[in-house]
Amino acid sequence: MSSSTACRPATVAVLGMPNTGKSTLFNKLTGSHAHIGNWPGLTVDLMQASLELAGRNAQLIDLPGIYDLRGHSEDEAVVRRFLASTAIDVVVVVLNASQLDRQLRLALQVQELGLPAVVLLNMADEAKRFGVSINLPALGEHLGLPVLLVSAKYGRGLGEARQEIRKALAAGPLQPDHLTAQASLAAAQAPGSLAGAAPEPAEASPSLEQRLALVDGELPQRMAAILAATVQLPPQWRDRLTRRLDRVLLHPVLGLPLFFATMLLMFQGIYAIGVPVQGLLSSWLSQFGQGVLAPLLASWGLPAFLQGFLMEGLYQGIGTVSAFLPVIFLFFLAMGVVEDSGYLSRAAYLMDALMERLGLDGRSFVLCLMGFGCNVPAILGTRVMRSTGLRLLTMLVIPFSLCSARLNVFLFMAAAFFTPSQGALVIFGLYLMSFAAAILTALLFQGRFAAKEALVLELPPYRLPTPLQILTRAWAEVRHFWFWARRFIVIGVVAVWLLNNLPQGVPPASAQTLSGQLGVLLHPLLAPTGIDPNLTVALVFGFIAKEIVLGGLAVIYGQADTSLLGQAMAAQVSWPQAVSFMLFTLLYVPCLSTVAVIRSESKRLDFTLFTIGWSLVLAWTVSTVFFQFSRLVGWH
Amino acid sequence: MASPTAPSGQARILAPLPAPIQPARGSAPETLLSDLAAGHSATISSLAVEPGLRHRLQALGLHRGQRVHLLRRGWWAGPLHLRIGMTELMLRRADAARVGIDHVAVSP
Repeated sequence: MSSSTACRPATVAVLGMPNTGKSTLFNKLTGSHAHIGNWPGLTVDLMQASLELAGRNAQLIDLPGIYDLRGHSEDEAVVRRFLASTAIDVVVVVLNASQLDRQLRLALQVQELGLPAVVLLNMADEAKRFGVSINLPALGEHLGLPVLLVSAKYGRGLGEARQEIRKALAAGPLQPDHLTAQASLAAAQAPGSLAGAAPEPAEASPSLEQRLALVDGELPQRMAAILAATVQLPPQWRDRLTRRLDRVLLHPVLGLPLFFATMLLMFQGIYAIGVPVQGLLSSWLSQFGQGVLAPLLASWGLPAFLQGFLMEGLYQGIGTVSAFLPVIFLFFLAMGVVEDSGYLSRAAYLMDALMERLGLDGRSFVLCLMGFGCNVPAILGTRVMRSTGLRLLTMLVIPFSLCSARLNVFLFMAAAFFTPSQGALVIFGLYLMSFAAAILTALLFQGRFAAKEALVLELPPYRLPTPLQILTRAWAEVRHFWFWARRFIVIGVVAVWLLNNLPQGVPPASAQTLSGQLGVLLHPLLAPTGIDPNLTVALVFGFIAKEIVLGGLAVIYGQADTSLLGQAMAAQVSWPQAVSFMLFTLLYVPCLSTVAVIRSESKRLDFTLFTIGWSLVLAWTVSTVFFQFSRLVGWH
Repeated sequence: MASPTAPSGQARILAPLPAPIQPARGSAPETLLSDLAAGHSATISSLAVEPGLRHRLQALGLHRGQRVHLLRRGWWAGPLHLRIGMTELMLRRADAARVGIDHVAVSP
């Protein structure tokens, strides 16, 4: 790395407070071709994307949303470390235009650090609706930075924003003085860092913090003076929609029942639309396999073992899982609407009283809801918490959230063992069980992770998300799910098929196969739960990822079409056994990724092992109690 | 920086508003944000919180001299729903009890 920056790709960091539409803006600027980047010295992943700006290749980096550069949360520390250890060419400061009365602070802090910056006032549409008027030229003059009004949601002002970023880049390799020393230090260390030693940014952070501390005292006065000169707030609150909706949705008595009714309706809707689509897709895939692929493979004259491997192993396993992608898409669509509309923050408000008594807070509840999509981002979301005890307790309960991978298994099994109306009840019951397990866990262990953390959360105005915004987001989530999961699914179904068909010559999926032996070996342990050796094998693979369970079952029972697979299973398994299996699947370790992220976020091996142990104990106990009870009352 | 003070017909669906609390002056113990009734406004006079929380509160607009309006109080001793400038937020009662206020009045 030389001091000349001409050949180096430019680094543009996007910085802003939560709820400013920063990620939407990032996606609009980059065309959502973002990928997760790795930054030396940072323990977290940041989204980044390449962008062509002024004939120069620029890397746009989406920093975590933070309130204050001097804040004490982990995200705030991450941003500080990033600013201190990275040579940044331009900082794009994203502020909510209608909340400039408090958000200007962040722009002032960036300005004080002497970082080259462009200030984007996002949600210009909202500011206009709420009657906030801003004198842009005057504000720009006070800050000494270019200031623009944009609306990322409606794609307004983005061309000008790009233009300003380009101009700021062209203004030259302006190295802020706090970074020059750091940059040369990093350059000197560059060869060493190849050996895996990340540059230690610790010594740079104090100087940045000291700089901020120095100006902190005079910041409020400066901010008030600038605001008085440039921003005019409405004399009266204009957002009547939010006022009226909150009166009903945050009602002391009606609020919670309304929220849960909304959730129930949402899941019913997903179930009602998603399941028929899934059934259709699954039978198409199966027909394609039987009618086109199987004859094709046979005509190539491949050995029977290989044919079986490709068709019954790979194709059926992957096909069964991909048939569920529409359901996942619908789920993320619905969750996206709930989140972007502002209702999710209200859920935190409504649930906080209960959560406080469980040693958690409203954010824990929201993260658990996010966990219904996927546990991994939900656990990453605990970074907003400063208290270690609160974070650990939240990480302990999140894995009980019924994620979309587990939902696949349950939707399938409910359809196989129950009538549609019973099936919906079973699914709803599993959601209740998921909440019950989280509450029980928090009640039991809140003493161990005692934490008192203040809770201040923004309640943003209600917003109507644009269809494009929601669709793009749901699509990105499904793509992420698929790209991430396919690796596990392919490896998983291949392993399940091999275990079921080796050694060669024995009847597939019989007790003589490797999986049969494994099932028999583990059977004594799981016998009280009613889970048979076949299902035991599925559970073993489910430890890697729940996406494999369904593909694994398809392979074990040799059926890809979910309705045929359901019939094959129902012939061998009673419904109480199926429910016991579902309960176990719901409660034990969600997947290896969740374990890995708990390990990396908690930085504690003992805690990680504890979460695994506790979930296994709870899963075994609940399944056993249910199965033994069902035997006692004669449901068999 | 004007704060909303003009009276209007809004917010009447809430329970009948209690009589305004007389602000404590001089030697009397200070009034706390946690004691504010729904539908009332006040000016923040003190913040007795640790530095971490002080930063967060300031970033959300809660600082000395700032006017706040209490929209509602959550069920089962739940959090307070506040409006500060152009921002609405929730704050737990226990944390609101560390914020001193004066200048109490009913406002929309």
